[in-house]
Amino acid sequence: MQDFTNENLDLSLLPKHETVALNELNKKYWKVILMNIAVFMLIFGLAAYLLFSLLKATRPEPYIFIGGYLLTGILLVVFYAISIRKRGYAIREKDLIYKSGIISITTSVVPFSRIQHITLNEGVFSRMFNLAALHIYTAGGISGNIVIPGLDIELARAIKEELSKQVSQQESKDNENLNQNTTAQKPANTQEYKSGTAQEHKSGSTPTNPASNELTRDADGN
Amino acid sequence: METNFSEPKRQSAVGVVVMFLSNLQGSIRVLIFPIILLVVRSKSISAGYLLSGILAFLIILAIYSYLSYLKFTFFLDEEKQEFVIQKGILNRENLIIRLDKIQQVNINQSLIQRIVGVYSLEIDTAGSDKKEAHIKAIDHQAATILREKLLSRTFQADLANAEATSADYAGTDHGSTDLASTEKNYTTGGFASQTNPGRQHSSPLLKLSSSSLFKIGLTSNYGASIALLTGFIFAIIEATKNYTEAFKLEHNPISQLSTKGLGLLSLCVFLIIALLIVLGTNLIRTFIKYFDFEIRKEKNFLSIHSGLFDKKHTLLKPARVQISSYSQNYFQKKLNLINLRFKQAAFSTAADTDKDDKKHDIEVPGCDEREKNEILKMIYNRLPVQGTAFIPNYRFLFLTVMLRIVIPGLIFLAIAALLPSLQRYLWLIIPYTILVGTALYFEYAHHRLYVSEDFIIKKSGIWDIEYQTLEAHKIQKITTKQYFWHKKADIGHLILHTAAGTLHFKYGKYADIHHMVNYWLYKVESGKKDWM
Repeated sequence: MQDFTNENLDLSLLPKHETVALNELNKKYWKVILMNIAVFMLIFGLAAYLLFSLLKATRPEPYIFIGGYLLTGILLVVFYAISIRKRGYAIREKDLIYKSGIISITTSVVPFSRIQHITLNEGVFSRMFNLAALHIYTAGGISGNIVIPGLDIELARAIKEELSKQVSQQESKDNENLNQNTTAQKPANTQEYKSGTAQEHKSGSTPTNPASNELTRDADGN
Repeated sequence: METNFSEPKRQSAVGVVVMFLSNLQGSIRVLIFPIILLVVRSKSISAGYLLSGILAFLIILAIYSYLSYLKFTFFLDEEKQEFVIQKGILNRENLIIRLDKIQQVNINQSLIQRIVGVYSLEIDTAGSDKKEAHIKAIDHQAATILREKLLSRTFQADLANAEATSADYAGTDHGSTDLASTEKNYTTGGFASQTNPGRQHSSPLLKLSSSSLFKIGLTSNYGASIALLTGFIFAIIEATKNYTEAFKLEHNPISQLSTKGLGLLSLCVFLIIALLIVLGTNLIRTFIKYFDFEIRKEKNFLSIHSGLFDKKHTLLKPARVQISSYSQNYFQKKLNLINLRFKQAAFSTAADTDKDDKKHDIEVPGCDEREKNEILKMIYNRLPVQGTAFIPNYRFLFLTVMLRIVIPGLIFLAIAALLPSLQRYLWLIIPYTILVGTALYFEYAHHRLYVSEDFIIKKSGIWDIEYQTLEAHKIQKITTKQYFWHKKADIGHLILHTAAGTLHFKYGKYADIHHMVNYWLYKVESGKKDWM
């Protein structure tokens, strides 16, 4: 109990993820969404027409069908119009934030050190507007992934490069540790290696002052 | 016993028998219904044909088993640090496993293998590919030696982590000098020291006696047994229905029962019998699964044995545990019995289904408070601290009450309004409301989040109260969620994603949640500790 309330002082100094200014998705993404809606409405229309002709024997009211159809279309457009304005992403020095949702506003944060791999997906319509979706995978399964749609392809590539670099840096560091471990199997090396890592880990694990952490982040422009 | 695995090696010779029997078992399971159908439908087939057919099938199966035994070889490539399995009769399949990708090696023994006297070795890899390596017949000594060789690399890597953690908690009893000396033993003494039989006699951390198994069987897992039982009862009812219809019996005892209604006495008897059956199946299940359950501490990992017919032997590495949870219900609390469960990384990173994979869970069905603390201490190097408690807002109850009481009640009313015959059952709404209302209230009262410097503990449950413990650095992704109508009230939800599932905390104060998230992000991003 006491420990945590002590921490509370520090907490207020920690970088705040909830106040970070978010980048909007590319404006052209709206067109992609419209095209997607159009395709959906086309298929939906065909299905409705099929249903209508199948039910002809019961003499259904055509206006209900047409009205329902139009209402679905309008609702879809309105919902997406709102939703696209609510979406945003931010890349901080050490993590990535994505926010979305109309009814429930969801904010997800993935630290770079937890990213497993990253892929770039280009849909048919997205490619027409030079857009791409960034898929970020963690070990948390499907729910642990983040998908950021509607990024400019060049930007998406740049982000992917940058993140991949961060991830592979992490991995190479791990591998280094591992290799050191295998060499440590030879007794001659053991002593030397041991002191080396012990030092490294010790220095690494001393918690850095949260305030300074914030400062470095601020300096970076976030 | 030959312990050199660098040459391609076959399984134990008796492996042919195991393969044959398991193939037979598999094909019987698949073919039993078509065969029965065939026999029943075409009564013209003579017994001679049938027998010769079965005989021919058995011979083919035997040849197939022998060939697959011949073609199944495995070896350890020490230079490349790879384990290679070759199999397949017509299509040769080469399974190459990098040693540093191995996350767990299990030695199990099914009933068949026990009769023949061999073990199976399963290799669990840390990859998104679902290929699993499985050696079906290997003798015990070879299996243990092979396992240690396979795991040597992983445990080496683990040691570095252990050192890191011990450096972190320099205050705890794992001093760094102490650990350094352990490592020396570990690297120079090698794994040979582990194979010496003396270690088998080290006293186990936890051993379940028959009496505690009995207690466990009586107090846990009602849900699963009831589900099993209802399925069984329905199957019986269905069968008797078909039977009576087929033989045109006039009196179907069960349908008669359901039409005439049950007398109060017979209802009581029925309920008591049902209860006894549920408890009985529970007991039997518990005994089969956890007979001779034993946990030992070996160097820096836990070794777990269990099983009556199928022997299971698992190694649990503390660093691999993502979430550890312990639960207790009212009876278990009185008996000082705790159910412990360790969730390991499920490795479904790719476009895999998000079902929570119970396969990687390791369960300790029963232990007391002291043993629980001992095991948790072993896993985390110290006891998890229950820090500041966070309590959900009373609005927690609104939505659940709406969904579980008001809406079902209204639906029932509406149906009753349409169907007058239902109207005399309207009073059922009252006990339903009381029952569900109490359950919901308990769910709310037990929904808590405890946060300390390094640990996150989530308490939940209605009857079984569960405490899920998570270390902050095991977090993969953090999601916060808020419905727009909760903005003014400053209420929101928190979802912590780990490699072994998610933790939800609902209807918390959003400002608090933001604080916590910022703190955990700082923890994850500034710390050098890896999640695995």
